[in-house]
Amino acid sequence: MSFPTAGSSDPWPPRPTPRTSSETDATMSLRLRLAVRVAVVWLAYLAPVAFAPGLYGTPVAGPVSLGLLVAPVPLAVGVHALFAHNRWTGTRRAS
Amino acid sequence: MNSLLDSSNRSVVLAAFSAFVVVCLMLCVITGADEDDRALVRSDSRRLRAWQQGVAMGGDTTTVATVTVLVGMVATFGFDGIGLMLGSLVGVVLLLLLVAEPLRHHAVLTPADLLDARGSGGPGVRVSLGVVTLIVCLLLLVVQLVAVGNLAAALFGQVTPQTRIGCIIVFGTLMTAFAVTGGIRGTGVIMIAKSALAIPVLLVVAWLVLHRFGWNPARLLDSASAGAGLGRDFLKPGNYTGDGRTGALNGIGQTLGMSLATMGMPAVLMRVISTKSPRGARIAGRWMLSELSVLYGALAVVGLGAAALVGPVLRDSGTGVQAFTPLLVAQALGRDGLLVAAVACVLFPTALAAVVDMALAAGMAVWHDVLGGFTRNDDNASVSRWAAALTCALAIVLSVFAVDLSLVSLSALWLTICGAALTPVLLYALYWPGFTARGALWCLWGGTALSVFLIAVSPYASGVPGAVFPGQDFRLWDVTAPAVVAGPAGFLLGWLGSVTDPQRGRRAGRAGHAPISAAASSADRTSPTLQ
Repeated sequence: MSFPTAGSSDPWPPRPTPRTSSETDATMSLRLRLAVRVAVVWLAYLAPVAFAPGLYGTPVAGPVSLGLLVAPVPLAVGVHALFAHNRWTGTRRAS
Repeated sequence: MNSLLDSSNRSVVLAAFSAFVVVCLMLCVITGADEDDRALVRSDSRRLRAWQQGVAMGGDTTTVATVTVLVGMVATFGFDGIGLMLGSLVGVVLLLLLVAEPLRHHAVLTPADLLDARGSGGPGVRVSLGVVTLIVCLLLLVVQLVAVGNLAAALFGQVTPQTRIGCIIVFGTLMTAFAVTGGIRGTGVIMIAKSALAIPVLLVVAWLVLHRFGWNPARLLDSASAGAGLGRDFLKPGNYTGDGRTGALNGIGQTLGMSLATMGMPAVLMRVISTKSPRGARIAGRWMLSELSVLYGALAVVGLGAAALVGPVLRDSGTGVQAFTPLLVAQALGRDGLLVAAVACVLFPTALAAVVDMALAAGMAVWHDVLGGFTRNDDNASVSRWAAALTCALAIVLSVFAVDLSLVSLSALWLTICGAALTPVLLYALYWPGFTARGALWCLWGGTALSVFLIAVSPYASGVPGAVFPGQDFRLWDVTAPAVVAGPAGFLLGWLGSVTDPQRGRRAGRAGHAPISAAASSADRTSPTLQ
């Protein structure tokens, strides 16, 4: 771990990366779409927590309940969204 | 809890913590902001690498209260504790997707710069955002300082009001020294040191728990269910949030509030802004997510181990003992007290590191937003240092007065304000071109006022033992997770304030609501720091 000397600074203020309007708008739109997908899955997961807790309490594999079994799903959708975003960003940068 | 540490282990913990403090102070002096820097968060801070910022961001969300309360929640209430962790992780994912990169792209020092660049800012919005950020930071600082004061006093076997206040003052003074001398880079180094200590120790404890149960998760879960006294209901939602309509609202509000608050935490946003580049912010976010996933995994296993090994003790001692759950597990696992000493050694740096970053964020809000909204005096390094020092002093004084207050109510309040006021403003400013300064003000002040009101009429304030006013009863509802109402209401207020703004059409006509790409290029014209 190294920390370069303070004072040998980046240009200040940092200049915004030049981008075309359409590229930025497309990126923002993609982010929003992916985030909405994550949020919808997250809320869908939460609905039984609130309204049918007994359903998530059902044992499905020994002591493991249904709620615990599907708990990684919203997180997996989120991680997939991150991968999708990174892949898209990488493709745009390469082009 | 006096029996947790014997006198020799107390000496070990004290020596280890003193060594940590000395090393951190040295690192702060070596790596901290230079005198010729204009602020504590300046170009030097941008020299921290993305992974270093990411580890520090992860440290911001894992305070000592988080570590102890999450382990205690999993041990006592099973599924509801795991749901809280999941809510925090989903919040980090959304932060990464929605906020990290564009915020770094547009903001210079604080999120208020983003609103200026976006055309929905101005001095009023800047000052308001600074004040609300300060409220959130102060509440969080008070919670952390009081929690660590209680923990330290209990570990050293002197649970008297004087000792607790003394511990608060000592930790608060150290926090001030670190924040003022280190700046964002110095505090980043402390965060990394803390994570380097905390993660291995917690992983070792989790490994020992799994080893104790023969690496058989089913056996661990069975023992945890039996130990917690909940049987089959241990892995069912509702043990903490309750049943019926109130339980449903609590269930949604708890996890939703955690996700919203994670997206708007001032210390995390400060670190996002101080990364080297927008791409660096994204990489830092990935490190943060990885660190938190590992840490929460370990905490979940430790929590289950606590239920299995010391569940009856936790049940009999009430909620007050939850803060000591990691230490109780270590005591049950270790034979010679060394593991307890190691966990205690982790808890103190964890407490110190988290408050340092939050203190710095509060100081930045005062200096750059509150004072900057009036004076535009951003070139003065001493002003930023004084702002941070005064904010820390205020937090210490408030903590001393709040030493006997319910920490749960204060935690609920900062989480709700963060999710109902700061997060909606941030998201609207980034993604809605129609967002105006009036919408931002409605969102900030409306969200804050509503959060305070909802907490004031909840069981946190009155009507139950442990409330702030247990002898009186002015409850209007029994929901203990007000984010379920305050969060959506914050978004609604922001929308309503913007669409009813008479200036909206006029400003849109002269490109006041520039597309975000255009606003980016005008950031250096609108931010007061960019002369």
